[in-house]
Amino acid sequence: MGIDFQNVEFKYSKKASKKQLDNINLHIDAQDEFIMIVGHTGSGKSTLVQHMNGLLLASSGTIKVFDTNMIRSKKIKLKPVREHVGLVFQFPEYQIFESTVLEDIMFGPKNFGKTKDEARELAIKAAHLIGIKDDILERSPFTLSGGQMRRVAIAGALAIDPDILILDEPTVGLDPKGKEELMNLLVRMHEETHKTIIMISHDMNIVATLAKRVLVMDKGKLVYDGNKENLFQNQTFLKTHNLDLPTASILAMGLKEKGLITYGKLPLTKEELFQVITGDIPNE
Amino acid sequence: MFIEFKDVSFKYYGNEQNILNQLSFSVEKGSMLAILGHNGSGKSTIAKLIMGLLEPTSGEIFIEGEKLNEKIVDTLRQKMGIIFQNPDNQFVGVTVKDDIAFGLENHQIPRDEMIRKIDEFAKLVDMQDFLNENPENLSGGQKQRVAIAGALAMDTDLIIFDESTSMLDPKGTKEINQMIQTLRKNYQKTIITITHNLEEALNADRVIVLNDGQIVLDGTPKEVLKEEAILEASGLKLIDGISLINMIQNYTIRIKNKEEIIQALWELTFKM
Amino acid sequence: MNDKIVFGQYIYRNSAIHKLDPRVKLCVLFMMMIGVFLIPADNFILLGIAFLIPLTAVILSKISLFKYLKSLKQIAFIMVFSFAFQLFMPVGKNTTILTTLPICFSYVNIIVCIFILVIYFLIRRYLPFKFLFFLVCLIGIIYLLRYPILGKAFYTTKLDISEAGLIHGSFLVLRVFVIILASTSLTLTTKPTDLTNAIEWLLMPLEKIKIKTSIFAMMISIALRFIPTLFNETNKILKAQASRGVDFNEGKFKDQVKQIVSLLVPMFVISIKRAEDLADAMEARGYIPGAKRTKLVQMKFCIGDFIVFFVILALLVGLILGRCGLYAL
Repeated sequence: MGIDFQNVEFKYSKKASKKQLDNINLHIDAQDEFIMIVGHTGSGKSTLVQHMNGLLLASSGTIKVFDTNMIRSKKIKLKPVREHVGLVFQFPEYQIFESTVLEDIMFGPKNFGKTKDEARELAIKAAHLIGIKDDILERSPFTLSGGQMRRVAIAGALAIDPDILILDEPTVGLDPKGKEELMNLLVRMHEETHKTIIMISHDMNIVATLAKRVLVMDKGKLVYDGNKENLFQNQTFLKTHNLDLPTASILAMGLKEKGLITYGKLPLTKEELFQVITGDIPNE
Repeated sequence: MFIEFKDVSFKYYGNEQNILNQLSFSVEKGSMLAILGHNGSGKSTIAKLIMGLLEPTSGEIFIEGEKLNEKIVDTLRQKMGIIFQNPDNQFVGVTVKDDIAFGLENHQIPRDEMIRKIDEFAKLVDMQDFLNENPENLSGGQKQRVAIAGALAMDTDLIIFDESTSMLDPKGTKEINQMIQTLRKNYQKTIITITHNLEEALNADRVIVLNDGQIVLDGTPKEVLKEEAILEASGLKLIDGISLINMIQNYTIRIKNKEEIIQALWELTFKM
Repeated sequence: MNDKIVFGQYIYRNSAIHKLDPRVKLCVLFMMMIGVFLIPADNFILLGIAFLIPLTAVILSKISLFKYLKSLKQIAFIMVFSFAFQLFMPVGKNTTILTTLPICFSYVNIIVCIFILVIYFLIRRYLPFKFLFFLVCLIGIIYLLRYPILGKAFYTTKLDISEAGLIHGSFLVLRVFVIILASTSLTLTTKPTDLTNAIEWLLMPLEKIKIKTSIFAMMISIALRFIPTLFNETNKILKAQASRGVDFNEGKFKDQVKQIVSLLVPMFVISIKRAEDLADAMEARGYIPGAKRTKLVQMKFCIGDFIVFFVILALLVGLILGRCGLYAL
């Protein structure tokens, strides 16, 4: 179960020389994963996730999403796939169109054949999961603030009750407080429901605090698949793929250079660095 | 004083609530002001007021001593440029060259001078190899750089960056922030940067923090950054380096090299 | 994100036709349209001369003939229909009947024809040569209907193909062909922006009577600028809604309406936001609608432009004088 990529390749046309995806091999579980995908713009992150719910189909190689073989064929049924794997794009507030918040969240489940009552129940549940209060459910989504609208859009994907939820840079454009709130809600939702979360992010501070598993894309290739500790430990690797370090790590390295602190393992977060400074943890 | 706000209030027609409330501040020529605030704090309204795109409900705005009003807004605008948030929505030209030319055409700059300026400022923002490129083939950061070239080509004294980096990736953000420093140091431009990222305010001469249409903090970056509680209440988040310093200072148990570490953290944060 | 869409048909080449002033090209196309329209019916020689003009452009443009044929393909069906219509149209008595097609309907005939049609529509989309396939099927059906297959025909009729019909039909098709070829060679060799500038220049006399053509030109140029952006945006919304289970090919009519609304409302919201932002940006950069502006793009006529313009003009004038009866055409 889950998502399986084997030797996946994708090009926009047969003749194109540039491979948008190049020999991707990957397995993602249907439960309990918290994956962050990083890589600079144009590295193929968005292309990769669009293969996971059949918005794009591979040029060659095999992709299996739950029970469906994702092949280019007239017969392929993509709807069941999209019921298992939800995808939320960048700036998802632009997909909102209904007259009330509740109606808009119900749109997804209704498309997947749920009755009105079932859809309403799912919608309310999803709204609560992502921290939307009951009093705004009947309001017009267009009167909400940017951060609230984004939550409504994410609730719209959650209401379908997918096993895997993919989010393409969910925090971009939000202010720091909105960012933090949204990330906390997503983490809480993940812990409560055990849904697998896949998130594209440019923010290394978020990656350093939250990721259980990190995928690094570069020029269409999957160049790293593993935990964040090993990734941030390897300075030469980060340099070759143009990746930044989390702020705390940069500070830690600066302090170490000045001879003010010593550590065995590079601190990734503010809290870890603070422990190193105060000496709360042994230096190895 | 380049810009002076005197008790400026603003509300949209028909609305009860003021977006800006009795705002007074001034910007010196050649200095850099950062206006911080969460989304919806009214900070972008200030930019639109300065550019004369909105009119204050009450109060007065002076630009180089002249009161901003409908009659002279067109002339005053020639001194000011603005880079908005969405790179796509301010790219008017069909190509890079056309877009840089747009403002010049509006101000009836002769064609020969126009060509010279396009070359000069495209080079300054490092876009000289893309002059005939369409916007669809450019990254967000590149589009913002074209917008900067367009503003510079007008010989503006003031450039406002209205959340210009909030839709960019880290690489684009870095490029624009470096560009701001260049403009300030090498070209003595007056700069107002409007943002919700404290990082982008570190290099400013002065920082104003806005909440609910009112100025809640006003001072140098170092002064403002110390007020963690007020910043937090204004929907802003301290950057890691500064909040670490606060954590260390509040820590009661003795820390080895405490003062040196604090000093180093300051330096590292400002260097970033 | 990486879907690069090419708007317009413009293909870059370093050719004489590309370098020709867009205003001249536009004028030539305009004169071609008038000229081809004025050519007396069934005068193939004059039409042949008219055909030489776009043909020269095609050859000089260094763009492969295939690209031209591609754009002709879009109207190929219409051309076949109008040809068939003219071909079978009964014309007066004083024309020679070239051949007569008997048409018989028997049950088997009809079933076979329907069978061919079904096959045609089923495999059409997988074939690269759709138009050729269409012709083969059409001829096949006409041929099949000549004789009753198995059993008696319950209805027979015949279609006369007359000489006049054939000539009329071919003339009509060739006329359309010449015009399409001419306009295709314009759009393939001229950037949309150059075309806008040319239109603005040609409409300049209207400024004299207080019609602000510059505003009109700015509108076209902004539309050209934002069509690819909006196209990308639409694509994105389509994908976002598809992820929420929208499938434009299924569902009851009521659901389908809803699904279209789910695309239209976001597009509308985005476009309004975009328009607001753009208006602010333009105003901030000193744009005043209708005010005088200098122009970066400067179009300059060169000798070649004049030669082309006057040669075509001379041909058109000659044709008009001929039609007026100054000499026999």
